[in-house]
Amino acid sequence: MDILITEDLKKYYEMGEVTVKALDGIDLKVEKGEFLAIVGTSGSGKSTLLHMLGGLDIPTSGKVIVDGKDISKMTKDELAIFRRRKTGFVFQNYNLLPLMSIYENIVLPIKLDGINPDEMYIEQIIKILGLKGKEAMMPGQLSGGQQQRAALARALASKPAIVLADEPTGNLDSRTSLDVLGLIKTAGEKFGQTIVMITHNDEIAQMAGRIIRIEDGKICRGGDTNVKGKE
Amino acid sequence: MLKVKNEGVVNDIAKTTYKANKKRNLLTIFAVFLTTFLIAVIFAVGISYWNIVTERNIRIQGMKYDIELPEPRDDQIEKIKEMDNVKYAGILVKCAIVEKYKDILLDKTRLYWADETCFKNQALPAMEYLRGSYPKKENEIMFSIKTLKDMGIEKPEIGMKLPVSYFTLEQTSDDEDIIEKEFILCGWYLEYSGNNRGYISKDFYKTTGVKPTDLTQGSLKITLKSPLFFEKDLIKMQKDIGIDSNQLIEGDTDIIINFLKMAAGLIFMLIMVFTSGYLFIYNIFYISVTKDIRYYGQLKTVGMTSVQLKRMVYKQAVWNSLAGIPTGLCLAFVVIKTIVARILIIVSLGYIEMPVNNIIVLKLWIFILAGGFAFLTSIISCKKPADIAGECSPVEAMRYIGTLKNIKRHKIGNGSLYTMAFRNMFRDKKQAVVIFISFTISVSIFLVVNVVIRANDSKYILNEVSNCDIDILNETTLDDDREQILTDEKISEIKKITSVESVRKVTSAKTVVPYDEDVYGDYYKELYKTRYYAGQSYEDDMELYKQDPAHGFFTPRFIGIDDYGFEMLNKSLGDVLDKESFDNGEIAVAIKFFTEGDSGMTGKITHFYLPEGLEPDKEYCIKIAAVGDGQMNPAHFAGGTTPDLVVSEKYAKKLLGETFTERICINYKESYSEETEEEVKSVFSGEKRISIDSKLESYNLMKGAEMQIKILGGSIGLIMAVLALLNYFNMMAAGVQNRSREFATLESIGMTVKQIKKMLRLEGIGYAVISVIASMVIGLPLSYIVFTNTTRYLIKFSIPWINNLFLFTVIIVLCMTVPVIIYKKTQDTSIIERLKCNEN
Ligand SMILES: Nc1ncnc2c1ncn2[C@@H]1O[C@H](COP(=O)(O)OP(=O)(O)OP(=O)(O)O)[C@@H](O)[C@H]1O
Ligand SMILES: [Mg+2]
Repeated sequence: MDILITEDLKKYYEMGEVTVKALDGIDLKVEKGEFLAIVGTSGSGKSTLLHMLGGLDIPTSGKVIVDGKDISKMTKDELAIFRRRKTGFVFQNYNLLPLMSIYENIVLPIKLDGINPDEMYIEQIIKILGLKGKEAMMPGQLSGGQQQRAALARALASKPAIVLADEPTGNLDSRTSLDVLGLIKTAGEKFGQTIVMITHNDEIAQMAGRIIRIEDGKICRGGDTNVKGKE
Repeated sequence: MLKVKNEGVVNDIAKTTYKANKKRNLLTIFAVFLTTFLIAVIFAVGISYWNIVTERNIRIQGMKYDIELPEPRDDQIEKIKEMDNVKYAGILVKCAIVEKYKDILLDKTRLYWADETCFKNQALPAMEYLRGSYPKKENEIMFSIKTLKDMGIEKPEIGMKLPVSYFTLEQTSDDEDIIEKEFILCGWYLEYSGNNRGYISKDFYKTTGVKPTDLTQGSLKITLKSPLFFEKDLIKMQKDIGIDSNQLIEGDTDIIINFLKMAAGLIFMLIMVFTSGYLFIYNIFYISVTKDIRYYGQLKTVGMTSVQLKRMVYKQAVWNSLAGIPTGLCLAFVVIKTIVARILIIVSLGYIEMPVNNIIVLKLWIFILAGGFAFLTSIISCKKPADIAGECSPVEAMRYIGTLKNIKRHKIGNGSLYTMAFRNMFRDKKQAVVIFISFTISVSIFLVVNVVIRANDSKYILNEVSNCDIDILNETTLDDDREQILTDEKISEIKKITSVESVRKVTSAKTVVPYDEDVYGDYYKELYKTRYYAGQSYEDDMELYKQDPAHGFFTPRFIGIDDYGFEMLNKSLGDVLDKESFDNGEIAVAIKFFTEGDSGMTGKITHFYLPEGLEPDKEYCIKIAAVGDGQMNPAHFAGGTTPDLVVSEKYAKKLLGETFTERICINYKESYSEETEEEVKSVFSGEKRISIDSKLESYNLMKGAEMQIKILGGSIGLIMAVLALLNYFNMMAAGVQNRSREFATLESIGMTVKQIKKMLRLEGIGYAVISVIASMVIGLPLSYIVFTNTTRYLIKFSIPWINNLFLFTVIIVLCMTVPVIIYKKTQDTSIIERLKCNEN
C-alpha cells in the first residue's frame, strides 16, 4: 500500500520576469515501511519536495496524498494534528524552539496532543543520539550537530508513521552519521515507519531501500515504485 | 571641510532610515503630540487654578494682602513693620458711611482712609484700573465705579461735585449724626469686591475722629514676603506684638497646605505623563533599533562611528519632536482657551465676575516649558536605543538575538501552553516591564480620574451632603420679633402634596444655662485655648458668665427634633441613644463647635432655664447622653458658646407650650422633580423671610461644572489609556512578527492554530491581569488620596466599582484579542515561507 503519493506536483516561484520551477511535475509513490533516500544537486528542489510531503508548504498545482487523504483538502488544524500524530520532520536548519530546553523541545509534539510521552523510549533516543546530560540546556547552548540530533529526537519521539528528514546528518562526522542512521533504520523497522530522507552523502544513501534523484524539480531516476535504486 | 561633508552623509543616511520607518515615526509623532498636549494642559490648569484662587481672594477682599490685624495699636504697627517676613503693612481705617447722594439712598457705602503703603501696594493691585489720584484735600473723594453707578453717575469726571449725607463711625458719639457735605470727585476705579466703597483724604479722616484702634474700624493689612505661611507663624506674630483681648491676626492658614497639595498634584501628574510618554517613545525606538540592529552593524562595518550612529538616532527623534510638539501645543492652546477656561470659571469662581483673560494664564513661558518638557521626554526616551545602535559591534550585530544573551537553564517543564505563555510574557523582561508600567500608570490615572469625576458628580455629592430635597429656614428665628412662618398649617399643606414623601421639622428656642464648672469647665478651658478665642480673656469671660448667664454671648439653643431627626442624629453619633429616654425628656445631646472630643460632658446633668417657656423661672435639668459636632447639628441657627441642647420635640413642647419651627426639611417621592419643587415653593410664595436651600437648584448650578470635568477628566484618562494601549499593540505587533519563525516551527511540529491562539490569549491575559493588579495596588490608594484632598464637600470616599470593573474588562478583552488579531493578520502565509523569511 502506498502511504505517500504525489501527482504531478508543481511548485513555481514567480520572481518578477523569471519563474523558478522548484518542483516541476513530481509523480512519486512511497510504500508503507519503505526507507527512501532523495539525492540531487543543491537547489534541485529536494527540500521543497519534502516540505510538500509534510504538508508544510502549499503546491502551485498537483496533489499530495498521505495515507489515502488528499492533504490539500484538509483544514489548517487538521493538517497540524496530522503532522503531530503522523509525521516527524527534521529540518535542514533544525528549527528548535529557542525558549525551550532540549527535553521540552523533544516532547513538545506529544504534549501538544495531550498525551504523556513514553519516557523509556525517549530516554533511549536521547542516549543513542548522544544528548544525555544536555536535556536541560537551551538550543542556543548546543553546537550545530547537537541541535541537529535534538531535532531528530523530536521527530522520532512520538513514533510517527512517517519520518521526513532533511539532511539529518549534514552536520555530523561520518562516525556519528552512521550511528544516527542506524537509529533511524532500527526504529523504522521496529515501528514500521516510512522514512524519507534527503542526503548528499552517497554512503548514507546506500543504506536506504530506494534512492531517487531529483534534478531541476524533476525526478530523473527511481521515481517508479519498488524499483530498487541501486545502480 | 571633511567634517562637514561627513556630517552630510550622516544626515543623508538618517533621512533614508527615517523614510524607511514611516509607521514608527507616525506613532512616535503621535506620542510626542499627545505628551506635549497633556503637559501643556496640566501646566496651564495648575497655574491658572492657583491664579484663580489667589485672584479670587484679592477680589473678594478688594485688596491684596495676606493677613490682617484688626484694631492695631501704634506700637503694634511699628513692630509689624519691622518684622523680617513682612513686605508691606498698610493701615486702612473705615471712618464714615455714606447714606445718600442727593436723594438717592445708597447701600452701605463705606468711606476708607488708606495710608500710602496700603493704597499703593494693597488696594491698587486689586483694581482693574484707576483714573485720577488718591484724595489729598479734605473735601476730595474717590469712588468705585459701582458706587458711582449706584449714584446714577454713568460718566464720572474729575472735579465733579458730589453732595452726600454721611455719618461718622466715631465710637464715642452715640447718636449717629447725619452730616451733609459736598465732596469733589478726584478719581474712580473698577474692582470686583461687590461692595460699595470710597476713599477719602487723611485730613477728612482726622475730622471724623475715628481711630485705627476703634472696634472693627481700623485694620492693619499685611503683605508677607512669602505668601505661604503656617498657623504657627500667625501665633508667633500675635505673641510678638502682644495682642489685646479682642484682637486676632486673621489669615487663611490653609493656604500653604492648599499650595502644597496643588503643587504635589501637578508634579505627580507631570511625572505620570512624562513616564508614559517616555515608555511609549522608548519602546518604539527600542523595538525599531533592535530590529534594525543588523543594519546598524552594517553601517558600522562600512565605517560609521558610534557617535555618528547615535547622532543618527537622535536626529530622527528631533525630527519627530519638530512635528509633534508644535501641533500638540496648538491643540493645547485651543483646548485651554475653550474647554479648560470654561471649566475653571464654573468650578472655582461661581459667583465672582472676572474677565476670562484674568483667569487663564496663557503665557508664552508655559508653552515653552511644556514644549521643552516634551522635547526632553522625546530625547531621553531615545537614549537607550541610541546607545544600543551606537555600541553594537559589527560581529555581534550579525548574531544579535536580544533575548538569548544571558539565558538561564530552564528546569525541565512540561511544555504546556501555560508555561509557554508564561515564558513568552517574560522573554524580553524589559518589554514586559514597560508594558506593566505603562498600563499601571494609565489605569491608575483612570482610577484617579474616575474618583475625581465621582467627587464632582452633582447628584452623588448632593445625596451625600444634603439629606433632604428642599430645606426651608425661617430667617426671623434669631430676631426679637420673630414670627412663626413655618406654621403647622403650612406644613400640613405641604404634606398634602402627593409627590411629597415626608416633612421633618426642627424647632428651637433660646435657653439659659447657668455657669456650671462641673459640666462645662473643661469644655470652656479647651475652647479658649483654640485660635478662635486667642485674644479673649478666659477669666474675664467666665466672670461675666457667672454674673450674667443670660448674656447672648453664652446662651445656647434648645433644639427640638422629630423621630426622623432623632434617627439621623443617633446614626451619626453611632447609635448610642435610647429612643424612649430621649422621647421622655430624660436625655439630651449637646452640640459643640471648635473643640475636639466631649470634654467630659457625656453622662453629666445640665441645668437650664427657658425664658420663652411656660415657666420662665423654673430650673430644669437633663442628662447629656452624648456630645456631637457642629455638622451634626439638626438646627441651622447658632446660639452662644455653651453647647446647644438637642431634645425630643415632644419634650420641647411640654416645656415650651408652643414650639417655634426654625427649619423644615422636605423629601420628595422623586428627587430633583421640578413639579414637586414648584408645588412646595408655591406654599410659601411671596414670603421673603424664609430662605430656601434646594437640591434641585444646587444641582442645576453644579451640572455645568460636572459635565466639563467629565469631559476634561475623561479625555485625559482616555489619552493615557490610548497611549498605553498603543504601546501594547505596538509591542505585541513587533513581538508576534519577531516570533513568526517560532510560530511556524510550532505549527510544523503540529501545534494547531487554535492552540497558538490560546497561547497568545493566555499571554495577553497574563499582561492584563498583572497590570490590573498592579494598578489596583497603586491606583486605589492613590485615588483615595486624591479624592480626600480634592473634594470640596464632606462626602465619603467610595470606589466606583462599576466603572473600574468595566475598565478592567475592556483591558483584559483588548489584551486578549489584540495578539490573536495580529497573529491572524500577519501569519497567514505557508509555514515554509515564514520559516524562510526570517532565516537570518
Ligand atoms: N521562497 C522562494 N522563492 C524563490 N525561489 C525559491 C524559494 N524557495 C526555494 N526557491 C528555489 O527553489 C529551488 C529549490 O530549492 P530547494 O531548497 O528545494 O533546494 P534543495 O534541493 O533543497 O537544495 P540544497 O541541497 O542546497 O538544500 C532553488 O532553486 C531555490 O532557489
Ligand atoms: Mg535543501
